[in-house]
Amino acid sequence: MTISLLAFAALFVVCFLGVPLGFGMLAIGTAGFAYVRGWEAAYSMMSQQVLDFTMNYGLSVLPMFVLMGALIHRAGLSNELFDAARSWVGHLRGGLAQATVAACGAFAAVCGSSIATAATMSKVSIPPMKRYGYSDGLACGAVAAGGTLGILIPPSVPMVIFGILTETDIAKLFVAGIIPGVLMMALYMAAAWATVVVQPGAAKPVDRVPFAQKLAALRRIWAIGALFALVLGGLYLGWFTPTEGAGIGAAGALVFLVLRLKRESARALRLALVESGLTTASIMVVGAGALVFSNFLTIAGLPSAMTGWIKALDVSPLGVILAMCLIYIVLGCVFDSLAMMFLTLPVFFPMIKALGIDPIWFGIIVVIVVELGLMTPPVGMNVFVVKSLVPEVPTWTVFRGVMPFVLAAIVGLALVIAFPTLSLYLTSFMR
Amino acid sequence: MHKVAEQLVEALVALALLLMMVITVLDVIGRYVINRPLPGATELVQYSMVTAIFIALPLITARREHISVSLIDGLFGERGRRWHRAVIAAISAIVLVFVSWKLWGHAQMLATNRDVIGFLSLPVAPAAFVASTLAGLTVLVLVAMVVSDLGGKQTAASPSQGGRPADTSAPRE
Repeated sequence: MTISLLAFAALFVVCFLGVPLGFGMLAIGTAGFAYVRGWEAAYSMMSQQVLDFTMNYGLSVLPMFVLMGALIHRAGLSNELFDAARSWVGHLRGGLAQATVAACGAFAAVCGSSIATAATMSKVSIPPMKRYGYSDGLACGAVAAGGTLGILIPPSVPMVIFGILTETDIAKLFVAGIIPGVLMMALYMAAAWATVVVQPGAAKPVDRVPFAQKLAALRRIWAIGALFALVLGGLYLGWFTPTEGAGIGAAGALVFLVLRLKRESARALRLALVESGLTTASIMVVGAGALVFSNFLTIAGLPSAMTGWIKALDVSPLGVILAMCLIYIVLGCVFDSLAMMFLTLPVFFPMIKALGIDPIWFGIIVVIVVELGLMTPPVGMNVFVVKSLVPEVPTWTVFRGVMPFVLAAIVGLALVIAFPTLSLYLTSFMR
Repeated sequence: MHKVAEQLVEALVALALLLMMVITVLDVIGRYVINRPLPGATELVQYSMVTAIFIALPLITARREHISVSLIDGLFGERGRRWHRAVIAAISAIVLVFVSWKLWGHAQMLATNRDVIGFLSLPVAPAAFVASTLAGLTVLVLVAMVVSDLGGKQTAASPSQGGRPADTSAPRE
């Protein structure tokens, strides 16, 4: 127990110095394991885990979903998505900000990355918002927040990571994310509406669009719906495993890319493949390190000690979940979203299981708190992404603009915690 | 890293990923359409993945694209930042020396035991040897980074990686 706390302390120091997280976890995990079992055992554990992890067939789900998102990102269908969303909700109060959120939500249905979602949508949605006199804060805040839907609405890279780390069914996690994702989208749209109600100066009204034009706009984005239906439907009905679904999704996205970019698709494909490969490798390095570290924690007895402690405290499962959410929100201020999951799940998840909490439900809660971390200062990745695309807007303006959406996300989190059925209802029909 | 080497690495990574996708699709189509899954699909995907990850390792290292917490970056001036980067690279190099060395030992053991995977009974040892070699190569990259950071030259591979978050070309989550 003491040794694991020491190891955590060492890990925090090493990470804050800026050592790559994966290397830090691997080194400290190996050294800790050696302290308990000797160097020989530690080395063989380390090398075996590293190789097994990087050769694990089930993990190929990660590069394939990353690739699917990258291909969709490169296909550049953001204009059509934004137009469709604008024709339906643009005339409402804060309508363009609402349309931004809705377009992000639709994009999220084929992309598992919040950063890709925010980056794609900010290019098409911020200029029209500026044209209609939207304040910088509202315009940027809507994209930064909308982008986080990328990881709540399936497919979702953090859900894949959660599934891998905790051996939870990824297909069920995806399906469980659908209702909370739509709920969160609605709440973000409400936040945009409320912002304009409170500060009418933050946006000018936009004309209503005739119904025929609305339908025409929807018809142009049918392919997104088809790809989502293919991947999620296939997983839901058990046609294929998540690994296969990811491969099929990537191939579908490729077809889509070729149809849209035609001659230029070779270059886009190459870029998407390279960036997905590098992204996967950087996640896998941390994954391998986290696995070694959690092997050490297990033999040092931390998970069982924590589990015993939590049982002795006799707190309610709800209390534990709330405490964990609080820890995540605090950590989310400084840690990268994936890093946070890798660090905490080896400790948190055994407690969750011991308390009999549904792992799928917990997974959705974790993804929502990770989302919050992406929007809150000082290290809100999505805010930085939007900011890097509109350099003239000060970072703090974006953080201020995203605040109404953070409140909405907290409301959404509370609802998902209060009503587990929001997450679990759809999964109840799966085998 | 040299430009040509970088492009070669990128091409190999891209190829491995493309292969994974094609194999998976053929496997599923085979199973549903002609009622026969692709033999050895699993092993080929496993091989592609381990290769892609370890080939990418030197590149993400050279570009400083590892997932890390960059809170104290802003505290230093130009000189301090170079020292900081050199220290980080040196620590990373030490960790990888052990990884490479121990993976080599593991590979030798797998070779002696003639461990195989899957339907095609492919030997595992070559994958481990490849992984070990590429981890070793990454150590060399890191040593070069330490030398160039302390030698006063800008690292050729990444002149502007200091302010990480702006990098949107590699969406991670």
